[in-house]
Amino acid sequence: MLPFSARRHRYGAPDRPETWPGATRPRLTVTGMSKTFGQSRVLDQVSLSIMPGEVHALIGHNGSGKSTFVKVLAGFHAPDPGCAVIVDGERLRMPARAAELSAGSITFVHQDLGLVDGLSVTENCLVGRFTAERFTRRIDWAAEHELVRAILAGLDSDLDPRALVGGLSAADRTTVAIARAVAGRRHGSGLIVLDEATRALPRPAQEHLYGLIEGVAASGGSVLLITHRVGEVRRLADRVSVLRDGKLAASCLATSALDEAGLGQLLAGRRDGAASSALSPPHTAAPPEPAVTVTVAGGSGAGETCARVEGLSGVALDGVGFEVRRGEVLGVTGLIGSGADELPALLSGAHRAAAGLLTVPAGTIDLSRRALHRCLDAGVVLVPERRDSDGLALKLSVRENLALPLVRRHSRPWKVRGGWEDELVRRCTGELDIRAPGGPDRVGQHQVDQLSGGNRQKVLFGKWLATGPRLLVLHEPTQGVDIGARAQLLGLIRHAAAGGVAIVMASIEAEDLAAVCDRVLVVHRGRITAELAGPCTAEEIIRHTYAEPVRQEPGAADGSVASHKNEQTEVPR
Amino acid sequence: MTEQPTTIPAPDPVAASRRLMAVSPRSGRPGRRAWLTRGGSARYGPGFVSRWAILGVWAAMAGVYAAVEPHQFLQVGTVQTIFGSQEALVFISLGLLATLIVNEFDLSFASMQGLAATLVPVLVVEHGWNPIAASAVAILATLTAGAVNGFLVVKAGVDRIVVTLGMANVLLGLALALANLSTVSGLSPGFARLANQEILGLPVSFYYGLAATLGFAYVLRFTPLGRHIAFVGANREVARLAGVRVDRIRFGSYVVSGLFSGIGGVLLVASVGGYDPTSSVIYLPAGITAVFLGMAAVRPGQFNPIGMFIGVYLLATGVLGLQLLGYTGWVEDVFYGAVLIVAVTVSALLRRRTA
Repeated sequence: MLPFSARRHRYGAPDRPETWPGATRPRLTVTGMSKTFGQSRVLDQVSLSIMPGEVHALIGHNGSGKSTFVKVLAGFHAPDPGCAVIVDGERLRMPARAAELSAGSITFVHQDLGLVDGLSVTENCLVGRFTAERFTRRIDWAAEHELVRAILAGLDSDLDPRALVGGLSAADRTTVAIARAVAGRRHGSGLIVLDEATRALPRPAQEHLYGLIEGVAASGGSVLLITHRVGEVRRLADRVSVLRDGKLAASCLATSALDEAGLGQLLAGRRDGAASSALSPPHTAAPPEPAVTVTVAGGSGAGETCARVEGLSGVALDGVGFEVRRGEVLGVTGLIGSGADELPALLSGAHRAAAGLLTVPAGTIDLSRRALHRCLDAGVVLVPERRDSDGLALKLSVRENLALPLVRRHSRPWKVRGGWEDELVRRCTGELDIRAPGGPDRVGQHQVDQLSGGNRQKVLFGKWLATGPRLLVLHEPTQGVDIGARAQLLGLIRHAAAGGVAIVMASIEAEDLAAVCDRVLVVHRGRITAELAGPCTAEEIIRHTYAEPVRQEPGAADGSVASHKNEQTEVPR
Repeated sequence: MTEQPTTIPAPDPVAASRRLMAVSPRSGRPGRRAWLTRGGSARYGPGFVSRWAILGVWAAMAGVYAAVEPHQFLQVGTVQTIFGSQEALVFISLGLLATLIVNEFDLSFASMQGLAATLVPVLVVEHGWNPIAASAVAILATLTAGAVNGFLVVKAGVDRIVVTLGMANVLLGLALALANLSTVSGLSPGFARLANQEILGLPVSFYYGLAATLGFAYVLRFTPLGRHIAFVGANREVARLAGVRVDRIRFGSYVVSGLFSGIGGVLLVASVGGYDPTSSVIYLPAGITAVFLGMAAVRPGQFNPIGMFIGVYLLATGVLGLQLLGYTGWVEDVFYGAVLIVAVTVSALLRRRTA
């Protein structure tokens, strides 16, 4: 609770690096941070330290625990016991408290930015920092606006501090979030944590942010940069730590000794014995006889085109087109924000696309209209990414969840056919190996939230496979499941394809894609920039995913796959 | 010294199944919540007590009254009063329940009932209408009000509390205007028989309420529509992605609320013979209390019609007992309010215990 005048003075303080360069005491030291959700350990004994004036990059795939690390650091989650976080020599109490963090001058730019749309730029930037005045006297808005204008000017932005944040572009919103982080920082010290902050920024704004980060570091501040982009790491970071499956795969490596191939290698990791055996579908997931749940009406007919997508556009996607054949697993991958992550919802009609046509045997569906029911009728179904919020009703039983899409078709209007449901539950339990407390006979009665992540995902798979889909759209199908269930799910995907289903699998997990996909499309900035045909390795997929494609001439990548067909296309760099 | 023969322990099926289930949470403790889920064959077990504890509360309450006021409370007339006077509350509570169960909220149910109960005597007594035609018009009016609620909430996306609270005030005012700010009465005894005809000592309207409750419970539990409603209530996005017409069900819930409120109003005015629109306000807390009280029974933590039905008569018992003890006038308000808080607290605790 600094008096107003003192606070004002802080920003005008001269550049006065206290311990940098030649500092010996780290700005931040984290030792033994673990975090367990239910049964899954998402962070496992993560330790790292950041020196004053250092830009430290923390990289890793989706689900590797990066965001959880940030959330624990920010006090959003409580870590498991045994974790120590030391800021400038003082140990913080865990879970971290906002007051102690801001006293240690640690500020965050979260992945979702955490801005309030209905409030002004000033209010967003100074939230929590003018509350002290509120009780003594009114807020001097003119001064606050001026203060924020000065901070923004320091970021080379001429945003109006009075503007509402809700009306700003993605790039400006990021600027506001960064301004907030900068506003809470003592000059020449402190730590700014940037969690995927550059993902929504256009190229020039990115360059600007890079300059800003360099400036912060040069003045003695520290930056923890959490990112997907290998290029950023090379460009900005002094040292890099790599998270893989919640563990540190590499800790505090100097980036000067690494090239992009080396970073990619670190990210993907070498498959150890357990992992590679998990990648070959085990027999538990492949019943000897063809599963009844995945037979498709109309014979096998593998190889014929099942679905053709033309000109699919959304927020980030920009006129993507491709074909999927029956019995084929088509992978789609790309960085967050590239458009690959919105493709499943658009393709399945769950969200309305800006433009796009989907041609299936039943006819052509205009995806820019309300297409969900037409898609469902045509056998196009979605296994969504957010299983617990979009996929299953956690408080209802497994039985009810499994039966939901079919319950009307298979029952009289006045009575759900219990026998049909029993049979459905029995079949799904057996074929998908769904496990729950109390044995196979009691699976159907359990609420879904009593099941583990992997078993929940199997229920979700079973729910849609039982409908006999023609085109199955999967979004991050192995997210948040343990390694055994992951192998079973991958086996199921192959098995469903063998049953004649066409499958589109959007995932960031290169190893999953390499294990099950016949082809992989790589999306970059809304367009398909590479098609990897035939069996390809995780390393290849990662290389293409993380490669920054050179700006292409308009029309060079029109999204059509014809030019790439049946060959591995290296994007010119 | 006789030595115990070393035996190789036989495979323990329980332990084996626990090992098998090690991937699932709460292994080895077959979930308590399984008793709470629908489709479970719970007859006796861990959930049994919490499912039916409300009946014990009811019995205890009746016992206290019987002990304190044996001469007045232990009468056949008392039972008839309790079970013969609440049919309107049963219907309007069903209407409220229809919206709550799909995660909506209709605060206008009491005013819709008031409108229907006012329209019937106004049309019959002042305009000489046939009572049946007047009843049909009254129910049509509440259906329309429900449809307007549904349209504004579902299609226009206006906040449901604002819409239905506004609707409640509008309808209350309209009813007062229709009745010229006074009590309207003078319905024929023939029309009253529609509600008051006695069967087995209770008015027929009690059985209407019972039938509607059981029918509603059947639809929710045994029909595909009920399944869809359960999913709309539990997780709208899951329901939508599975092809459930979520908005139709939400809209329908407001219309059903209007329907039940209208029926409740017609039955109320038929049994009493007249109506004072200002009395609508007491039904708002009564209905809400009954519905939330019902959460504490049958399917603890979830809105359900049978629990609500029990709740209505538990409330009636409590109020009547207090009136027999000499507390009148203000006691209903205090009682409904207090029970509402206790009921919601209990169901919140139940839910936390099972969460």
